Amino acid sequence: MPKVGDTAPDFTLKYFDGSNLKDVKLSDYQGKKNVVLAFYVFAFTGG
Amino acid sequence: MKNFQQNLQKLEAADTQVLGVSMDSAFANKAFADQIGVTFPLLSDWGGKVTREYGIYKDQYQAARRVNFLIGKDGKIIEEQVDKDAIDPTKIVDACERPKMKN
Repeated sequence: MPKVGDTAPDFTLKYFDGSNLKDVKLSDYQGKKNVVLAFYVFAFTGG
Repeated sequence: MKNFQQNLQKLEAADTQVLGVSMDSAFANKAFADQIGVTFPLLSDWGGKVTREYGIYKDQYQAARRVNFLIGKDGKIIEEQVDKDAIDPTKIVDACERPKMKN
């Protein structure tokens, strides 16, 4: 697992916005926004 | 996810994009988001490639652990929370509100 201070590995993943599948690329936020990445176990579980 | 939703205004005010990631399909994630009222994107890591790259795939569950990363504008990780600690995102919300994060 990357540690605090490491560069976060870049990725491109899809999400569905209700009508289209869209790509999200982590590095697109670089220099613009901070990003919270929240990995979770499965949909339909708590938290 | 709901905990981040509750803090979304604070996070957005601190120039922070929230992204959920799971190994569910994009469509299951959208249904989940609608059910719990989440308005930020829940990304589909179908096949688990990114989850493995981040080293948080858990063989025991054949799924990811619960981990939150806060990544700064320079692409570096500022905070992380793992497993039980990742349920309450206060540490990350607080970190975002530090003045230097807004620059």
